[in-house]
Amino acid sequence: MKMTMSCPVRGTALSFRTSHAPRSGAAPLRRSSMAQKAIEFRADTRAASRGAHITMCGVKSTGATSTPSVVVMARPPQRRPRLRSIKNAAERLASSNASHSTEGPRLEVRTRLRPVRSLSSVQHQRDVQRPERVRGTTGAVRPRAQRVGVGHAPPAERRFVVDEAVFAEIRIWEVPRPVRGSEHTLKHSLALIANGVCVLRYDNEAGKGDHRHDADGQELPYAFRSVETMTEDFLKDVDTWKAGRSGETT
Amino acid sequence: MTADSGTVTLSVASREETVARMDAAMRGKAQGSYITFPTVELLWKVVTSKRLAILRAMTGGEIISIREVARRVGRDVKAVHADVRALVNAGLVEDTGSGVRFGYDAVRVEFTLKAA
Repeated sequence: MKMTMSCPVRGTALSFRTSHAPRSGAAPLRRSSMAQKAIEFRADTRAASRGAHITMCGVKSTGATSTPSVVVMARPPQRRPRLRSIKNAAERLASSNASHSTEGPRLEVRTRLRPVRSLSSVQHQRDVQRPERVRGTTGAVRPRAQRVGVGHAPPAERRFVVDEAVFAEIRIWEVPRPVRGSEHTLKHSLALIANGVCVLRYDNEAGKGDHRHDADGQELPYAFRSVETMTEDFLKDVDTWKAGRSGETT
Repeated sequence: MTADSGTVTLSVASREETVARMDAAMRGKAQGSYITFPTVELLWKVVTSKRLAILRAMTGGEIISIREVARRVGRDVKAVHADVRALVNAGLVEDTGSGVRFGYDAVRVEFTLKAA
């Protein structure tokens, strides 16, 4: 599964791959150290690209045989010309990173600059519909019949307009086995988007478990009980956000 | 995308109805595509007649430029740009970076006015 589970906003995905190839005989990289790198990288890229909004930063591994890579998705502070500056900043950082550190994961840039589209886009559909590799096996393609849920249109999808330039989007998929880090067989993404910016999000991307991102960009774990309570909680947060915003303007 | 093709219903629904629909959808009852609004007033504020014409011109799900949208509705680019922007911000139209997209074939608007 592609880790492009981000807010439905425009952005840029920059992929970084570690320079250690698994076949070189080196010990396999630990996910935790990759994750640490990802966090550092997030802060660095943000600073170097002068305020780019990093929408997601995480570790991606597509199977037991492939090297995990750090994926950074960023949205430029303003318009198009800045996309390139984020990429340049990231490249500079990665090259200095590669030359300095002798141990631990090193980052090597795979320069790819591509727009991140919303979950509902054609592109995403194509990405998730590609036969998924089963984790932990030799990379056999899971038979089509078993790939329920993700890869198809979410069975439960609701978009609702909250205010003139504010809307919320709830998407829930049923998956054949729990997403890593979660104890239920759902994959969900609940987002509140104000003026094109994601201000609140509940999700459970692989490895992170159920969590929510609040308006300040903080990530907090979320105790999942049921779809109903989660939707209620999310809508409650939407109300709180709305109240807070109207309080600011009046 | 399967959920995107077909008809989208713009409707007025309370929070409870929204939650109930989510629940029904999770239990496997096909719900169709809905975009809900909390009030009729907000619905008409977001979907003005001019914007409805834009949505109509955009049906089919292909990615088109705002200039093309303007050409189809026969209005000037600047005004159409503002309207499309409003539709994107309200989540009805999707901005793909290379153009805008409205992924449905038809639009249905549904609401009931009850005596106060």
